[in-house]
Amino acid sequence: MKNLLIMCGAGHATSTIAVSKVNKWLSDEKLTDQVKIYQSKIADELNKIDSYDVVVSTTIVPDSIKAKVINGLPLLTGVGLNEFFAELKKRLAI
Amino acid sequence: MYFDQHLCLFNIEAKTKEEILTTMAQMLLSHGIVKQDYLTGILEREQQYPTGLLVNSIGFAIPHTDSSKVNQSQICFASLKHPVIFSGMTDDKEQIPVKFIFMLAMKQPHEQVENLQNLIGLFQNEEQIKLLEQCQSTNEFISILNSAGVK
Repeated sequence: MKNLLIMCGAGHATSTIAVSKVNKWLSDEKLTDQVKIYQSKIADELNKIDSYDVVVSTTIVPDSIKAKVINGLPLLTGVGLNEFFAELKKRLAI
Repeated sequence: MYFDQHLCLFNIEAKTKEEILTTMAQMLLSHGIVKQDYLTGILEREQQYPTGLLVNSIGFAIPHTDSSKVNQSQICFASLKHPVIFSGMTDDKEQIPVKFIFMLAMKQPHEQVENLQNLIGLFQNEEQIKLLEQCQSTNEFISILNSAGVK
């Protein structure tokens, strides 16, 4: 089981949309039982970011964790969505 | 339910994002939708975690803040005569000229997934956005939003 964190600025609106889109993708790919999704706001996660296997963010992240984070903007704009899911799949390594 | 109070401003003028955000937050406050500290929350949040989104070359913003500052769920909408600059949601160096602002007041942190998804879906629908650009009345606005599945 992989731990996937999806975070935004408030932990309300955009991460909710992102979680729902990723859930649908996991279900389509039949990967639902291999990934556990956590939803949160960035301020609560910065010092425990390493406890997750993969992190998706729909907000700005500090340089110190950039390498760990996939930009979740395609989940909101629809632009580059296929590339996003390809990257997510690669990082989840499942 | 998101538009029960008909809080819409069409084709209005503002020079900065702070100006329009203040106008909208005060509108929500005067209708009892949000608490006193909502405006400060919105301005601080926008500074730290901006909400500008560029979709098909059109700028949107979805300012929001903690649900603890909200009394009841509602969306306040404004279309601007001249765009104002917001920073991009995942890159604060990205300067987005924003034409449409949907200020979200959400009572529960994870509520209304479908509504929010449909709202984002609307941003990607170029035909509907053309209608939104010409929209001048609340009834027309609500019918565009409802037909996109945002209620």
